[in-house]
Amino acid sequence: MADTKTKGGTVAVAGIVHRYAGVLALNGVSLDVQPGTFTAVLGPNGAGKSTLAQILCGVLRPTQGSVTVDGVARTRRSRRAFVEDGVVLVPEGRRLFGQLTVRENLLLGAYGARCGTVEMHRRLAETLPLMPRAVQEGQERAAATLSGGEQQMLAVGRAIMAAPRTIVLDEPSLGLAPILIDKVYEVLGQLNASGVTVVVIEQIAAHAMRYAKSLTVLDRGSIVYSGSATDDAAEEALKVGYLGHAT
Amino acid sequence: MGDLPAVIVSGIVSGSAYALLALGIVIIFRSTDTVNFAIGDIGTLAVFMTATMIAAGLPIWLGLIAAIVIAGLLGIITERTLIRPLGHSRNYVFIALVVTIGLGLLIHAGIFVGWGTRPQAFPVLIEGTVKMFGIALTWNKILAAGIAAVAMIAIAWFFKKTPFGIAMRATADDPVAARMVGIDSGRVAAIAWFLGCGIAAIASFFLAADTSLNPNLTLSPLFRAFAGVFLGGLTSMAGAVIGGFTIGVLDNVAGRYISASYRDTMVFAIIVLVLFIRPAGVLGAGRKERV
Repeated sequence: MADTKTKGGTVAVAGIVHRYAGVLALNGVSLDVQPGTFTAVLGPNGAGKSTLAQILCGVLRPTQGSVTVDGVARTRRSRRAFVEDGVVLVPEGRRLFGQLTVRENLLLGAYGARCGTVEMHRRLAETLPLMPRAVQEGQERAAATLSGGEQQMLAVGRAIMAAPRTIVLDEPSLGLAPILIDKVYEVLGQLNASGVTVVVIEQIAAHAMRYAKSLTVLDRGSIVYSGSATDDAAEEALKVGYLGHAT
Repeated sequence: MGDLPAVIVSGIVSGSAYALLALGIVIIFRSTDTVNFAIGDIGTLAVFMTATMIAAGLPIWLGLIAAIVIAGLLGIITERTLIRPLGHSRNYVFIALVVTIGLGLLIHAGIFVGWGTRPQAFPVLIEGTVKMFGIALTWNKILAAGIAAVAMIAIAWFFKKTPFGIAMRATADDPVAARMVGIDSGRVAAIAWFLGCGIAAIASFFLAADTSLNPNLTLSPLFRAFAGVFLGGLTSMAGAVIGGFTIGVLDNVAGRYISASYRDTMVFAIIVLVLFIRPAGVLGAGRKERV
């Protein structure tokens, strides 16, 4: 992980409206992610969580509204510019390069962030200890041959290789056994402790709520709660019901 | 059948041109989903331009480098001006294919206008012949096969070892994920077209030296290269190279032992048979299924 003084970027969206071919996915969403925080964005299926994740990271351009990184307008910039700003996405379903080797997947994380060869290998040496054994020992394996949990860790590793200031994860616990979800969140906790801003987008609250300091609840395209993840109001927002079970 | 080794060697030598063209086709297809039918004509045009420079005093080996660079740049221009503006419409693959067929015809006609219809003599890099397994092979052909081999090894190294090569393979694997990671898809497309058309120019250069420089230079080799591509699978670089060499050998074996006039028939009969058993080609996308 790179020098700490550049850590903790601020990503903020304001007045975001997004439509897919006319269908409203987000309606007037504003979110301010404070540097160095661990934020959970929770919501039921179809709330617009993935859309928000992609807009936060510049993968998707919103129909309306603005995106700023460290206070600078970034709405019309390319995805690459976001990576250079240190805003990195671990997409839903991981999206690893299945035919490429584990090692190549990791290196590409750094390559995408315009990183030189020497620095790339330095980061690789730093990232590998955070990875499960199958990743460490199977660097020449095709990524598709890893198990689901290992793949999720590799996807996180690929993002770490970009030396992120803000890392956004879209449903990192999807389809994983609870013990593996713990492993993923353990690494996210470590990252956050080292100064990286973490945003997890989840449908199931349990794991995210254990680490998150601030909480945003999204429902049918709008924010219904935004604030501390630890006080009573947060608990109330989760108990309202649409999240299935609260913590 | 005592001359079989000779027939096979000669087949490998002529197969190197097919393998180069096939590799160029696959590199471009993998990175931009475009079957580039103009690849042969772009290579031919580059060699015509180079021939004019050689006639004006450029050393021949510099001419080879010039041909590669010119074809590569023509490739980049083609991708930028004709392919990229197509965007990603639903029938993109089909539209792009028709665009490259049109471009190929246009270049073909342009060569007639610019250099006339008569075949021109084209210099060879080295003169002379050598006897191998009882057959005479020109040094030109052997050098062509050697340079083809070097080019293929260099490309394999580039895609396996350099970060940019790895990024190009990643883009072929999942273009959306590649963009999410921050890979510059425009640069990937440009380099793919440069490499693809550049190695087509190597094939064209030696084909011209082998026979003569004429606008139909790559017509029949490209036909065989496509056969090689489909044999090896449209998405596999190794498959394309092996496919190209296989076609070269099959072509020669059929021509020697069956009948020269049934060469194409035999080659395509075998391809139909192979594709019947493995529709995605021997090393093709059949293995691309996700876990």
